[in-house]
Amino acid sequence: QKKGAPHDLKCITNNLKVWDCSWKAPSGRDTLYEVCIENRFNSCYRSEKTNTKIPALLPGDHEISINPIHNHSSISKFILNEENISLIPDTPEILNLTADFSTSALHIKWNDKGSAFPHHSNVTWQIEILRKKKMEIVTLMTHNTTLNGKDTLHHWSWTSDMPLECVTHYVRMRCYIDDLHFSGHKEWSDWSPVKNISWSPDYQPKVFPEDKVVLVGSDVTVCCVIQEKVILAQFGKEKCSLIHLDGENVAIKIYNISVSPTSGTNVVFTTDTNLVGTVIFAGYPPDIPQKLNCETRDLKEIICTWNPGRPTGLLGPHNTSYTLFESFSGKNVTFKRAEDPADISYQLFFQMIPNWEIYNFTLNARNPLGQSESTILVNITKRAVYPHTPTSFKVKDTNSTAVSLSWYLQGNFAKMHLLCQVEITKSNSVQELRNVTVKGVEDSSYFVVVGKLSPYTNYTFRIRCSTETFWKWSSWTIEKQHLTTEAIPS
Amino acid sequence: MSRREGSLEDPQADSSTSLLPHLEAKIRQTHNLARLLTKYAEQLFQEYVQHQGDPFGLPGFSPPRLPVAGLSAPAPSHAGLPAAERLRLDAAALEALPPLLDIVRRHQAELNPRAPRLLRRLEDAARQARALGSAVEAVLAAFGVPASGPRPEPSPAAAAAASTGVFPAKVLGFRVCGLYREWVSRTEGDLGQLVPGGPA
Repeated sequence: QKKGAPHDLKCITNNLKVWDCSWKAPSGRDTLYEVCIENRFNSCYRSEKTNTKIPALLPGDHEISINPIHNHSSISKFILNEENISLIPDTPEILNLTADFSTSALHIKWNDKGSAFPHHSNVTWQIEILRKKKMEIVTLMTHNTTLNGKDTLHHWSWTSDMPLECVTHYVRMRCYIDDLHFSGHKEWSDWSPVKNISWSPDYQPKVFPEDKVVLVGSDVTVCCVIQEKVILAQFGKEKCSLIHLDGENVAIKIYNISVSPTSGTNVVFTTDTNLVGTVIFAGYPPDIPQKLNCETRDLKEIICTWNPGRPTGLLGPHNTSYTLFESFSGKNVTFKRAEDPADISYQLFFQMIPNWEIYNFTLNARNPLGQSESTILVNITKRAVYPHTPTSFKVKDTNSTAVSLSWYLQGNFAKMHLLCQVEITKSNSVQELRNVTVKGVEDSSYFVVVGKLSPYTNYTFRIRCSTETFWKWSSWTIEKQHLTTEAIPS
Repeated sequence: MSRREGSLEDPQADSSTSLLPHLEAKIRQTHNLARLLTKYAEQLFQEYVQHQGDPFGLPGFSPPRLPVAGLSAPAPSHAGLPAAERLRLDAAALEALPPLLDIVRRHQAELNPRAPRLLRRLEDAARQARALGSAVEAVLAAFGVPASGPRPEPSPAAAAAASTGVFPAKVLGFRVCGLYREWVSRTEGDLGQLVPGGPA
């Protein structure tokens, strides 16, 4: 180029549709430039400034002339090729930054302005989180999306390790478009304007998080919003080093937290005149309920029992809640803890549904750290009846070699046969077991005659029952001594 | 018992009129009760501290001694007050404590469900504070000193403290158990000065 002629032509594009070209030239008043693309269309563009926008040109070399009109310096010619063009996306804009203080989560929303792009392109977004007035970088994360020719809103969340109440958090983002069709240089956009989130303190000293439940082994940051200088921070018995935030606010970091005592682990911040704190509950999610078993004593009510497995370390409001779902009926029952924690028996009662034999139970265990479940499919009449202990057991004479036994059995056995076992002990020596089958009835007494006994002999009787499709014997009745009558002399 | 039964100012110095036997017995009995509850109050405080986790109970752990629902610790000047005024203050404090102890027990029942002895002690303390307060009022009445008016229920501040988080509730309990210990011990001391010939 001759001296004073336009030089250093540089073109960039934000959207692959328009090239934004600029050049250097001696500053002269009322200079008007005419930029012409030497091609079939010979399109020219006029500009009063040393830059102009031209439609994106196809790949390959294109001759460009820049002619400073009304100016004595002469025309300049350049060869423009897409390969020398830089794709610098428009600066993104964070449309919305919100915080969920209870979960320390930041939520960001932005528009990718995909409609500005001619075709699908992969986009990488970099989101940077900064903290404190000094805007220290906390983290830089990437998020990949695809431009699809339409403006698309994107949402993204990040959970802070530091409670959001204690320090101002700043967020900014930029993007990089990797368009496979574009052969020029690809660069990051500028950073978006910063958005920030802070909590409006009410000037009462406060510690965050408040009463949080965390998983054993996790790292926890606890912080204190306060106006006075904190001189001591304790985690239980342990003294902790202070992380200074803005103003007098401070934080401590607890690594690999161990399981808390019942009332939680105290985190205490002490000043010259005050003491504030919070409690952290470190525990485990509920174990899979072990040995889930469902049976019935009376074919009216099903009793499901289980073993909770590994203790969670969490009690009170954070205790594990259990719910028993029955999928065929859609019914469920919830476990209520006994007042006296010493006598916890893990069992739930489910009312049987008339004429219903097969039950598909799912026992769900849930606490603030997670949930687990066990399932059991039960044919309640086949392998699940564990009768109550028979009561009102009586022995009466029938004749010198036979007695009649009677007992009462609570339960609705009308649709089945009962298998009962009589234990006969003769004069405290010979013991004999006899099985008898009786037709089941509902909440009723039962009778059997036991023969082939010896006259005028001391016997001890007791009985237990099960169902014909055996699952469990009931407990034995109490024993009954009985002296058979004397034989009638023949 | 219309006739005033002796002066509360300084009964031991008042040689002209000795206390009536049953009044002396009432004072001695109330004093013995106070002494017993002082021991129980100490046990309650230690048990409470033990169930809150460190740094509760560690040397140097001393939350600010904020008044709780209008009930503060016995003032340093308490010892210099006339006997009747001291006993009236004692009775008023003992009457204010049961609802506070109930708040603490309800919180602990949730926080420490497996600490039945602590919960039972808190329950007993509420009942015992009420009993001792009534006994002190009876002694005052015997001396013709009007009882203090009915105390308001604990202000929402106490209940609020228990509801704004576990730690403030733990500190409230620490404070209430501490106040209970102080006032019962103070009552024992004040009654001790009335017992002719000193405590039995």
